Amino acid sequence: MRAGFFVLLLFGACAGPSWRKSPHDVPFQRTPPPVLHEAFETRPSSEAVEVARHSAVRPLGGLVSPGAYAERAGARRRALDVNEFGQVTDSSWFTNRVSRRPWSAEELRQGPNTIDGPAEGPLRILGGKIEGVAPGFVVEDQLGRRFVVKLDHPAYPGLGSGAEVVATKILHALGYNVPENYVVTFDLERLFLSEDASTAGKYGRRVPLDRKLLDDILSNANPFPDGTVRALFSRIIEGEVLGSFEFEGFRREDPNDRIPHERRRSLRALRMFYAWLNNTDARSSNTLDVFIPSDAEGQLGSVRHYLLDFGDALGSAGTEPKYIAEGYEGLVDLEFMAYGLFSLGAYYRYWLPVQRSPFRSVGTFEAQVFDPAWWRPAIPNPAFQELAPQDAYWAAVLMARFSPDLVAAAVDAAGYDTNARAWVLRVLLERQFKLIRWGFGERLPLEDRRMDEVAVRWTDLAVELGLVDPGAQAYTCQLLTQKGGSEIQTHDRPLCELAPLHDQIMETRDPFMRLEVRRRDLTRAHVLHLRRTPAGLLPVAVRR
Amino acid sequence: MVRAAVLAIGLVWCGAAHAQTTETATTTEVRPDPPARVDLGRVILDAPAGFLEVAFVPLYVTVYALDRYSLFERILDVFTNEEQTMAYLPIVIPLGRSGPGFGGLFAYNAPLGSPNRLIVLGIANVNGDWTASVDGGLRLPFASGRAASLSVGASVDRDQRFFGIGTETRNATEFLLRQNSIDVEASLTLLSPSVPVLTAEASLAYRRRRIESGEGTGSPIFDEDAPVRGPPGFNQGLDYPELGIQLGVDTRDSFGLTSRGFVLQNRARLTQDLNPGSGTGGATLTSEFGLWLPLLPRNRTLFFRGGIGSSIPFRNRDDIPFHFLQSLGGASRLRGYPDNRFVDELAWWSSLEYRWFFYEWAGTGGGLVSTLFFDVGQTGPDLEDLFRTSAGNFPWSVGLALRVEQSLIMLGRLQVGVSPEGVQISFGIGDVL
Repeated sequence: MRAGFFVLLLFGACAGPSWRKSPHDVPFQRTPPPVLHEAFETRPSSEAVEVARHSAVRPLGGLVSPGAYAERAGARRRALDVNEFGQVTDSSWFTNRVSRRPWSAEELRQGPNTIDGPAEGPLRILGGKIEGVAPGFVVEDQLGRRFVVKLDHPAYPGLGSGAEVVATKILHALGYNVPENYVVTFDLERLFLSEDASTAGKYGRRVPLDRKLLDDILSNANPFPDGTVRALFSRIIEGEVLGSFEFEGFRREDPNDRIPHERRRSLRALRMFYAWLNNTDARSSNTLDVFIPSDAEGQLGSVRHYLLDFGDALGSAGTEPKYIAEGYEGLVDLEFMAYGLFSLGAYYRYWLPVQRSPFRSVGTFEAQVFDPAWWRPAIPNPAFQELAPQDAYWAAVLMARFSPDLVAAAVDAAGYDTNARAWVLRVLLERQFKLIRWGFGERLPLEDRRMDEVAVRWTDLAVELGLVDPGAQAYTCQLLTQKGGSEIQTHDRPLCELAPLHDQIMETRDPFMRLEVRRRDLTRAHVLHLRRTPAGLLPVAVRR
Repeated sequence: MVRAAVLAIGLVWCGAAHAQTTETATTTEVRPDPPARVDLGRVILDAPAGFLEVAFVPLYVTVYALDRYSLFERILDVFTNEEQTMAYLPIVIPLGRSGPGFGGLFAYNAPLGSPNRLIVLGIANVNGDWTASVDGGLRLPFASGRAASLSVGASVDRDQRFFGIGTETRNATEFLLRQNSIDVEASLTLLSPSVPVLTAEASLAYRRRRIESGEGTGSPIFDEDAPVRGPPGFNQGLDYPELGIQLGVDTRDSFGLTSRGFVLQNRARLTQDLNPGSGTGGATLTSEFGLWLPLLPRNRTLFFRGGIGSSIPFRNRDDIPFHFLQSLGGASRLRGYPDNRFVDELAWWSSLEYRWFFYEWAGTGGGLVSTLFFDVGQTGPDLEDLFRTSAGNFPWSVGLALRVEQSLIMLGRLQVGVSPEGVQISFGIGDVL
């Protein structure tokens, strides 16, 4: 009996809306200023362990864990870095940019860049990596600004650098911290070796980078007839590098890192954005925590979290085009392996019709076969796996903020030739459309709420984007208070007239009430929670 | 228990109860992060996965060490030269009929994949078995690229399984034999590599065999009182010069992940014991084919394999050497039976395999292939015995195999064969059909 009472109490407590208990009935937009602290040790990480853990051990664990089945059945844990309107608040992880106000193409093209690229003149090589066909170096320009330089594969000019730039621009506009990336065509004669230049040699040891090694690298650079080469200059992020962050758990040394990363909507929804960009390399090693000092002595500061290295975006796999299964199957995909094995080979992989584009600078990038629900990175990402419908919806709304002109601006920044540009732009727009449709799901995408004394109005993004026929839509609106429901209003636009509801609003003793808006073809309602205040009605939460 | 389950579900639901979406607003109020807390319900429900992860910690540590300290590269560097044309490998066999085994291998092959090779192998088991061999090959540029090879080997096997010869093997009585062997063989390819479909090779060999009663406790020791006929030359040291020729046709589209093509291999060998008064000698002829048929949509193949073998004495009163007799069982023929399970003068064997490529590694064309197979065959002293169906007792086996293949070569396979007599597991590496 007592246990039953306890369980009822527990369910009751959980069922109460959290916004009623919060100290403010206003939409929070940012987290408080970070607690200042000293820098801490770089955390060691291993890509091999990440592959073993997330590709093999975790999926096996999911087979034997009730939690995984509960999650598949819909009991997903809610995101914690959001306000009562479902918005991700500004923080050291994410800054609302295109979601806060419309962006111009020029702003997007500029992206995170604060300069025009490396200064004219000699580029001093400080170090680099020499292995591989597309090696990189660290250079310093005459103004002392440092860049990581990545040369494109000689057989695929523009492939890796183009993907990096497009992804950088879009992810920055979405709100993520990304490095400044510049596509630069420069004369190899500008490079000269620093006396103490070093590189990673055998077993990761530092070895001097001498002229011979450098010539070996540059001999594979495939310059244009005028002796110039195209390369990506990625400006080194200022601050003290603390290693990469994981996509689950949190960093105990960081007093500001209090939300498990897999419960950050900004990281969960990255799955949608990476699916859009086809960035299949979502390992934690492609992230960076940077300590930014903020006091005069440079001792105290806080951590900012970056996404890095988008060479695996679009049709690129870093140096070469993606193989056709990339983005459709994981590197070690136990699910597809099981389908193939236990069907005795009869299982037909849906991605088999995928073909490489005709452009060397584009690689394998398409939208025809692409299915948002089935897209997956090369190595499973624990935050992506926690993506809930609410997270996908938030991401879809953000993506809906990108007009074709904005997407075109991102593509233009990569400097593709005309045909390749047209291909990348078309595929990006088609993938964007598919993802938005999938992200909206069965939710009524009412956004851009305008509220005055007369009415509350919204924009239906599905209508605006042409996902549904605008002429055939009918919306209903009903006010629900402690005393019951009002008469149902019917409109041809998403709208609630407040004047007919005035008496009911004023008579109810409980100051909290809600407006339920429905569209004829959807069962789920858009619910706006309001609080009656002396100044008028105040929106306090949205549920869909 | 029920209460705990309800509590766990409740706690999970508690975390999942609030559906939220987004809204565009422009106010700038500050919202503190919620305090970090343990999601108890979820922890309980995820406990099995947690235990599994703990069980895999040693794997993580190993993988981390391999990655962090470049151990794999270091090990590779210790055992190979810089061009990786030379390798020294220690060999440890943890389990086996003859107990643990230890040994080493030296291999040289330059250019990689060419006939130019030198392989030195030595393995000893704790029961006293040992094998040692040196195998060298060379392409002969002056002979239009033909290749010559020479191999020398010796071995002692104290617990070789012996089931008898001929129809006696139906009794499935297993004995142990000891066999001491010395082999020296030289061979020459007869066609230049410019004729890729046809193969021809001639060989000349000397083989010494001594077969005695075996040692060990796993099965009865074979001696002259055993209820089955012993192998020819039992308790004698016999010396066999040997002449052989092999002719073949190979139209496979690839040596790995073969999807279509045909292979035919015919082999003939002659031998006669040199010891005075010995009546052991004869000829052996085998003909084997393999046929691959692709099945749509793709990555599925039907593979047929069949062969016949005949061993003939030079004179009616002669015995055929034991190593010249036809045998079924082992990793290639009737895979549900052990090596030399059926031994006689004549044999036929066939297999039907269904293979499907179910996992490709990172677009490399290589990956894992699964196989279902059915084998059937028969041995006998004459043709009538080979195909006599009235008894209805053709030995057969079925099984599964997992093969690791690249687009150019077959790397290895693990096979589990099941027959009316039991289960046989075999593992093999290298180029097999």
